[in-house]
Amino acid sequence: MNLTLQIPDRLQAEFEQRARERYGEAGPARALQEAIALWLETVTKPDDLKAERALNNQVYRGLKRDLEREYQGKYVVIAHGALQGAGDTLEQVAGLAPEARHRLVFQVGEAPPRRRERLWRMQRS
Amino acid sequence: MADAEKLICWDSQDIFAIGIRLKTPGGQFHAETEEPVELDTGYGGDVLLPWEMYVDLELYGWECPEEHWSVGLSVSGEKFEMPLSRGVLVVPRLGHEFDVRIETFEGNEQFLIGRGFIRRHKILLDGPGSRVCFFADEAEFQNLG
Repeated sequence: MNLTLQIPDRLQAEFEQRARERYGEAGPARALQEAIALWLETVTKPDDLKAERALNNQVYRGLKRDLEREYQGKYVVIAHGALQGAGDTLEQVAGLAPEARHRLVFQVGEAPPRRRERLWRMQRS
Repeated sequence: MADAEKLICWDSQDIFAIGIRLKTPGGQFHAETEEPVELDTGYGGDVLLPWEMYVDLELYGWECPEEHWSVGLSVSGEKFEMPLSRGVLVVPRLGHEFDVRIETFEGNEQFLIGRGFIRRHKILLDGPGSRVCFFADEAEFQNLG
């Protein structure tokens, strides 16, 4: 793919210099490719996290009755869209699916009070 | 008035704050040393965390189901969800730590200790004395409330 970009001269000069220092004559092309990949990774991760979060919560809702029947009072972990295990303490389940970006970790039956929080002072960007 | 020797205090010239370190269930701390964090009786939860800190600490790996999340309401009436996780509030000067629920929301920059935590402890806001004090005797138990 051919790409034509217009960027500030100073930025271009520094970018090309540093890229050549690191990778040689073909450095700018390689560094630009890496930069694009890095940017894509940066903007993709939050979406991946949200997708995993949505999946795990969907699975939780589907399992809720079974969990309350079979694991009342136990700590459980839901990750990768599946129940990963249960234990008597948080420590017993803390190590389950450590590679997962998102996990639900909770005690079955615990119900933190839901509130409507008036956050007058906070600005949401 | 309680015995002064039982009080652990922090200077408080402006905001009322206590020095804490926040720890994830996995053992990761938010800071190397204690950081003064404001006590805010206008916030109902245990701990409100800046969004970036929540992400940096990977607290989404310890989240509670969405059905337990509270709903935030901005000054303009906008509603937004408040992800809920868990962690440990460490008070180094006390030598104690407390299980807490941690909330955040996208874009939040505030780090606060709210009523959920305050109501489980005896804390003195000494305005004329410019200090905040924690009654050490009350720190003997852990409580997830």
